[in-house]
Amino acid sequence: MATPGLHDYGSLLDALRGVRWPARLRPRTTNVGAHTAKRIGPNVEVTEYRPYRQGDDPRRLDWKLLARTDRAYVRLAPDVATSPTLILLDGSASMGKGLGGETKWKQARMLCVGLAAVGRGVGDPVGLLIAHGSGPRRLAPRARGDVVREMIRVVDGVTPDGSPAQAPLLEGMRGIERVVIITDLLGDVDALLNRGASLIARGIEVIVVHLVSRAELTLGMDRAVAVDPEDAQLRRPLARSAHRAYDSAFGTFRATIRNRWLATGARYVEIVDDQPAADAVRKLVRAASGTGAIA
Amino acid sequence: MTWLAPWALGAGALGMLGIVAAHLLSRQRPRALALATARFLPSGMLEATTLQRIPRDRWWMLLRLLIVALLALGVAQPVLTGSRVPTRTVVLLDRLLPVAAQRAALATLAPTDVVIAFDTMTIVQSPTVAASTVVQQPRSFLSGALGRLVRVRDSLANGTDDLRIAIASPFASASLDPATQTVRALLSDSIVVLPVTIPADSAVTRGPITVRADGDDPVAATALLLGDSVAATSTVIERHDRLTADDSIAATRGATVVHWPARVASGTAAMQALTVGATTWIAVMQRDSSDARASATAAGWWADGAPAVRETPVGTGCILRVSAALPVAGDQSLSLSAQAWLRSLVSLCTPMSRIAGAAPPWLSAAPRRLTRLAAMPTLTSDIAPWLIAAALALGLIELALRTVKRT
Repeated sequence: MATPGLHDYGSLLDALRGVRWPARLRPRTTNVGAHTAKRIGPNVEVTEYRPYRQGDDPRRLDWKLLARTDRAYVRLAPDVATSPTLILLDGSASMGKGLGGETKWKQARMLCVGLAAVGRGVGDPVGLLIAHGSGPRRLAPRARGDVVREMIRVVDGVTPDGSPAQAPLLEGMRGIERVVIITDLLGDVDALLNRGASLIARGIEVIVVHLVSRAELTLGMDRAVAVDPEDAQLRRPLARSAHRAYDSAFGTFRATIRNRWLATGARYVEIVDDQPAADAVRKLVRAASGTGAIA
Repeated sequence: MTWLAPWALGAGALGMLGIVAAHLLSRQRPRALALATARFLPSGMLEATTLQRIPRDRWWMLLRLLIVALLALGVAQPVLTGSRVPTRTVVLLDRLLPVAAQRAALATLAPTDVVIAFDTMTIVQSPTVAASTVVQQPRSFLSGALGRLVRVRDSLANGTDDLRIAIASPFASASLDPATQTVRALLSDSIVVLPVTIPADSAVTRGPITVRADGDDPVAATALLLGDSVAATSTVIERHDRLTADDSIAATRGATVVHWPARVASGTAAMQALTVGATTWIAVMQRDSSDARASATAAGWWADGAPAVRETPVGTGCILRVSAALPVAGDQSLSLSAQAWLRSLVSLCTPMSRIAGAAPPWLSAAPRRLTRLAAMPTLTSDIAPWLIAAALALGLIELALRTVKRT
């Protein structure tokens, strides 16, 4: 398994310097950050006044207005908050073994680190959750300066293996405003989609990064038996005559899964493993701030 | 070296070709390749038949070729037989033939050829031994000779590339019996009929039987009643106790000499049946055992099977010795049955030119449908069991290695 060198990560982080990742949905957190918060608070930039109600903080009263008009009003302004982000990284065997697996896992790690750096750049806490056959690896969302370095250490220490379920890992989350799922969508697709829909219903922004290997898109092999790395019993002949049927089935699957995710309200981005990582991260950030899917 | 079952070599060669073809055309299982999106490939056969220029698993192929080769060699039963002759001739020599004809038939044979001489017995000899023991016999049975040939045919064919079978015989009708054709059908080979020269008896003229007897002799009376043209003029019935030198010379030159000493039956003589050929004479007689010669061939019998007439070939003729004493009185020797019996008696010693017949048409050609008896193997291969055992041992080793490799 090729491990991206520090030079690769450094080049990526340099290329992403200055990239902002605005939250598409207003965060509900109270921590002061770079995103416009959902709630309205006492900010310096007044947008509206509201009559004082019992229970309001007296410090938010506009005393000058009260003195001039003898009416008690409080100053209101939109608050700013952080958008805690959780990156769910698919560490199953299909992400790192077999044809194109090496470059797919490398791309997944680069995306993970790049997104963490961009999120950290705007002060958002960034956490990591890796679904792995030997058990999940967790890195709680933090906004510390060394969170990117910590994330590099964690992802570099993982070798994809097993066939772990990803959907259960997204249960019971608290304080998360944004979830990025980096996966090849070859595992528990339906459960993950249902879980994603549930998160979206709770007001959490979900970004699905469908990672596809170039080798999977254009099969060039002949006279081989293709074995699913997550299910050794699944063996299919990899003959040249089967390429057309494969392309059709794989294309149909990708189109179907894309439409299903979009129908839930999630952001869906398909990333190919031979795409430059910095470009892929920028594409993701644009997708996060826009609507619908990014081709 | 020769092979007892050479067809096994051909079968082994075919088997080895099959193994090589199987290794060239074997169903190849392509290499496995991990592919995360394998589920999108259509289902199908995981093995493919491919033709390769170089056989796969060459060591396995060599081991299997060795097994088949050893098995084929073992089944073929190799035998070390020393020198081998390209052609061997087996001559069925009928002792009924005149001595000169027998010698002429043996003259063309090589020392490696084989002679099956037969009369009433059959013996397998080399041409040299057969030539040194040439003798003419009055009777022969072709069925016995053919039966002997059936039994020894395979062993005779072992040391040669080409086995030829010939027969030298006058084919007398008495030599053939109903079983002869059946026994011939057991042989797959064709049989060459050798031409034999039989001296003609054109000088034989018929006339009255000469009876040398003293006084009133009953046999002389019977012969007198038979009249002329019953037998050759050279037929003599000697009623004296001893034959003369003239009798022996006459027999050597083709005459039939009947030596029937005129002994008188005692008063205890009883009714007896005396059979010669197909004729039986029932009369009051007494057995005369004073001149029983066991070496002669029986030609007439009493009712209990004891020989009453013995025949000794001499030259081209023969001497018949009758051991029966007749009573002096009585007219039984004048009866018609006595005359018929005496006619049969003097006809026993028939000249060769008259008993010789033609070879039956079914004798020469090989039978169309062969119903061979199981050949009695006379050669055995000492190395064949070891070869088969080695092949079986290698087969077990191959099976064990394959099982280990699979697990």
